[in-house]
Amino acid sequence: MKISYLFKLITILLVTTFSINTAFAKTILRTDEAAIGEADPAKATDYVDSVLMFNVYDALVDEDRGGSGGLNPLLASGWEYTSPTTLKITLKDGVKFHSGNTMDADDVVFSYNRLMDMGQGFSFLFGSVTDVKALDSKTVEINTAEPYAPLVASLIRLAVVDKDTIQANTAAGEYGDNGDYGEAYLLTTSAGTGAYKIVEHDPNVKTVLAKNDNYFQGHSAKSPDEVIIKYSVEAATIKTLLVRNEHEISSMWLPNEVVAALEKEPNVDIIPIPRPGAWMNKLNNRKAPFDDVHCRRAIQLAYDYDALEKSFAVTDTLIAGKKSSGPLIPGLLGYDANKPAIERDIDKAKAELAKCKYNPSDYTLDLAWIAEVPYEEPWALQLQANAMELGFDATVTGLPWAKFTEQVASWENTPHATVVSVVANFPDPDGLLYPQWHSSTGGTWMSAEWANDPELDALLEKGRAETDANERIKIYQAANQLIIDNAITLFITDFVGMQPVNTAVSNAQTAGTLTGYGTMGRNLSFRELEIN
Amino acid sequence: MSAAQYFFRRTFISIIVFFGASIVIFCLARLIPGDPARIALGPFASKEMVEQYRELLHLNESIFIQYKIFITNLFQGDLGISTYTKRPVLIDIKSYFPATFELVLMSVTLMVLIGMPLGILSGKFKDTFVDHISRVFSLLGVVTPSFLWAIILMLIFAFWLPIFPVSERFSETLDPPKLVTGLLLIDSLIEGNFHFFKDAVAHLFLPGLAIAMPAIGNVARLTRTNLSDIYDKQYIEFAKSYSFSEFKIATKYALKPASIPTVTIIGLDFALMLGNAFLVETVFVWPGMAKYGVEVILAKDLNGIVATALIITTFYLVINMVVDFVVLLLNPRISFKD
Repeated sequence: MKISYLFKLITILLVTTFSINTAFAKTILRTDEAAIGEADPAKATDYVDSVLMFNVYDALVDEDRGGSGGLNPLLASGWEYTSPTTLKITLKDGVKFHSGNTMDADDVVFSYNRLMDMGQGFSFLFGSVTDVKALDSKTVEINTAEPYAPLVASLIRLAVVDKDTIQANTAAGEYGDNGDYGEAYLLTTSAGTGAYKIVEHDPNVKTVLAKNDNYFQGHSAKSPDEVIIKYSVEAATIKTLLVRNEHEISSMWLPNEVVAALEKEPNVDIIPIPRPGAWMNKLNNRKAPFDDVHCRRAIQLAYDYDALEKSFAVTDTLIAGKKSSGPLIPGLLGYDANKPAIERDIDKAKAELAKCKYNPSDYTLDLAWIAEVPYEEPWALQLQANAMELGFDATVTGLPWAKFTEQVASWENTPHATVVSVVANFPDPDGLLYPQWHSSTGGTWMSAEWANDPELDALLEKGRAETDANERIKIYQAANQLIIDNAITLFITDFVGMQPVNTAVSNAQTAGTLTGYGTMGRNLSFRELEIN
Repeated sequence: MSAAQYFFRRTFISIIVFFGASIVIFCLARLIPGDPARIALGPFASKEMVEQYRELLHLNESIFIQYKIFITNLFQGDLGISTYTKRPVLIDIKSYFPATFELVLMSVTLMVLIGMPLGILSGKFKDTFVDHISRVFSLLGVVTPSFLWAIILMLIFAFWLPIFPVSERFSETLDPPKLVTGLLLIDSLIEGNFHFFKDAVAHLFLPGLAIAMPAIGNVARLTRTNLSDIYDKQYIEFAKSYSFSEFKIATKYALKPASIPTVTIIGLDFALMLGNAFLVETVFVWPGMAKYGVEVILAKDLNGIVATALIITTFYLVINMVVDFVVLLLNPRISFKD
């Protein structure tokens, strides 16, 4: 009894001494992501970089929520193709930067030049653009070397920066007259038009965003006044913070057991989020025996997709992966939610194998997974088991990323199959399909298949040139089917993120906001969230 | 040899050790697999951009030229740009070092305040119930790694009993004091902001204790062993026969010589904690240098790796010197010649 009293007394003393007053005058939303957070939109490449980009900066266009791949004007008021290679964009009136400066065509041109001169981030999306010029303060013209239909969609990755603010804060640097292009300045602050502005930024620790009260699109009534993004927080810590109501939205990268434990907590909801990405097992199409389409089809039909989907189960009801129906993933133009998923059929697999010119027992398949991503290993082991069912011998290797990117530079050194994930950077199928499966792009981590299919090449080139959206849907759906029919790649599952959300923000509005986008990082729009 | 001569001799040797360490660290950092430029620019950067970035980082030069550039810049106070955070490494170190230093100071304080009394009690009451409890506690402290203590302490004092905060250096609702030293406890006291001071202590307590636990066990065990050896010495019996008080015997005749090896261990643990705080910093979202040090290794940020390792090297050298001076003060039988 005495010990119990003593314990209580110590607890009360500690609580009164150290407890922190959590009554906030302003509403704060705390979330976390994997480090590092890149605040400069010209250097952004990763998920959290994209979250910052979409909340702090605006682009000319925005993605239509709902996973259709449609586009809406954002800083633009409209656009039209004046020729197959010329896009004319008109800008909205009266949009202000955080500094109070008015956004105009010069800012768009400057932002484009800055992105391309720095050559980092998403600059690779604009390789076909020959020039961007301001026709007047409200009109921008973009020219491409050849017809390039994904141009408008890729503009979602051209964040418009405040030219005057950046030029006023330029230090000496490597970009000639442009000095450092404001690189040092944008390490700790922002110069955008977005719904939030950066007030504190440490790329390895946290970013603090404050509401931009003059945002031209406004905020939802209960949107947070301040957002704190913490980097690389341990799963156990996130769990503690969420349960203590000291964290509102967790990243989607928590281990399954932590997500399962959080699901049982009364103040935490788990929101499944279809994400614009997929896990794939990339078959080397040039290396025997997978240079024979029948061998590829055999392994495609033998792969146990039910077992793969089960490996993503967090609980009986929460599964962090969805059987794939091909390379067109949710959010991309042309994605068909009703298209049946690829299924295993071992009898058909054996029938295909009989047509293959190679004898499976003559081959030892080299199956790889990326060593830095240990949860990929079971999917490689599953392929090994299924390949052995067909009579192949197979070894499974964890390949460090650096080693993989080196090996993939030649088809001879590229493994027979490698597990990788791909994510859509903008909501156009070209961005995902062309770099992976056009024969001209072999030799990168995305194109470990070394695909060499003239029919597919023709479709991808046609999709790039065609500007009619309905025609493009037909083209990409045909490409989708061709990639499946010729078993160019094995599709493990489409991504489904499990986002633990505190009930203070877990409402229908939040759930709706977090889902339905085909661009990495676009879903976490803080201005649309409601915090109670 | 005078104290001044001894000091200059030790400083000179330390400088040589520093340069030796810098060469080893510089070469080892370059043995980590992967192209730093490719890792920094990401998988989508063109080959031309990667090559340009390699030029910028002098990675195409021979290792001798690279080291010469590094050491020349070091003398000008320039540690280069971190390819991980894209900031000057000096800014990174300035941001993260005070957080780790303050955390380690808290750990050392706890190590001394808990470890030594525990060892003294154990040594004084050798083979009694107090000794047994103390030894079990010390053993648990030593054999359980800090990161596990971090999780255990968080589970008990943050999850089950929500007493202590579990992330960062201070509460999000508070405004930090004006940074003078970078050590929040001192800066808040300078500002007279006791509310913030209390908050910062609360944030320091769990991570500080987690890091200190193995060292507490070490110090307690060492103090106990030394103290019980001293208590067996004839001069203690002699003091007892003269009816000196127990307190006087313990503090004046027993503890002082018994603490010499302990001081050495405290000094070494102090330096060791600076680098070993990584997992505890990760668990408690502590914006420190140990966490940064490991992340720059994973990102093959050459400048970041070398700078972090050299800071820890310098710390080791300084602490070693300080410990040697303290031992000299405690033990007059050791002269500067030794």
